[in-house]
Amino acid sequence: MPICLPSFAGVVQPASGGTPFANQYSVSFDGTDDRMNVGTGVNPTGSATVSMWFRRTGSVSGYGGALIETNNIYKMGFDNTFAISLKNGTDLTLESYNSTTGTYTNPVAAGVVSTNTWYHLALVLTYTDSSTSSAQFYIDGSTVGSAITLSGRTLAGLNEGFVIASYFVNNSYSYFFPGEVDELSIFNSALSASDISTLRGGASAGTLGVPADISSLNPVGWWRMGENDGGTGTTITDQGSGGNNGTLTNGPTFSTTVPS
Amino acid sequence: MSRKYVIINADEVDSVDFSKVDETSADTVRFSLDGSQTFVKYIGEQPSFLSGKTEYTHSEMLTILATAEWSADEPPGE
Repeated sequence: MPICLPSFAGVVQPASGGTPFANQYSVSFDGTDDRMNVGTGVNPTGSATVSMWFRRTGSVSGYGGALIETNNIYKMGFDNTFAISLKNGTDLTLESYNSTTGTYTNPVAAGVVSTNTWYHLALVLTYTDSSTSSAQFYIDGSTVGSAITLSGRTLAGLNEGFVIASYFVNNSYSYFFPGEVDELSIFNSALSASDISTLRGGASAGTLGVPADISSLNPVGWWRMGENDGGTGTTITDQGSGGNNGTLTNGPTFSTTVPS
Repeated sequence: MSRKYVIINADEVDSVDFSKVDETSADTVRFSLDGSQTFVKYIGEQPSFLSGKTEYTHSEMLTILATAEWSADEPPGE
């Protein structure tokens, strides 16, 4: 995978001289009631990886600030469901039942997210068997927090659909995320640290990269957040293999502020 | 031009012209925890069916929505 260098106007010029990779748009969620829904169809069956770029632009109090959540965390009885959120806007948190601690809120790392700053986030879930799985987070290519041991948890809850920038709890949406999301992708395997580096454009670990062409990693879902849809409308086309388009609800807007 | 937000009573949802606001439909609006209020947002002139209602900025609305009237102060999973 070529190392990519930022060029101009959101176009990334691969250092190897390959095809430039344009990234012009992200989707901006206002944190009041905006969200993106993806219906049933994305269905990792074991190990899986979720990757996204995000930038928080507004304040978040308490347990708000959900980046992604499988539908429906209650409906599914917490079996195989998960959510990634930013408690107080700064603390990376995994919401998923942990049979070891008996709680649903798993602190990952506190104070790792600042306002108006782009981050690349990856969650690698390694499924071993029906009694053991672990979740490891990366921010900007570096691991954050320790791997969280879950009891045989997979991301199969995605088969119920999922939501970006909100939770869906007790049949209503809440805990909204204020900010931009870009280049969301899901993989049907636990990607390596090297793959995570590819996802974030090959920059050195711990520094911000730029989105790159990830086709070679065969995402089962890849939502570029505007590029495939001309930066207009309410549909976010899935460029991955699954063809599960997203739907913008309550007025998320396309932004030309992108990771760079 | 920035968005403006207006809080309305839940029973006023039926009078909202959703072609004039950014919310998708009556089925997608967000309600306060007791279900008595909701809100809509728009850019530009205030739609006539909202005439006289107080307008809030995005920042003001985020502050309002962070109160106990609109947001539960507990983990979503518990």
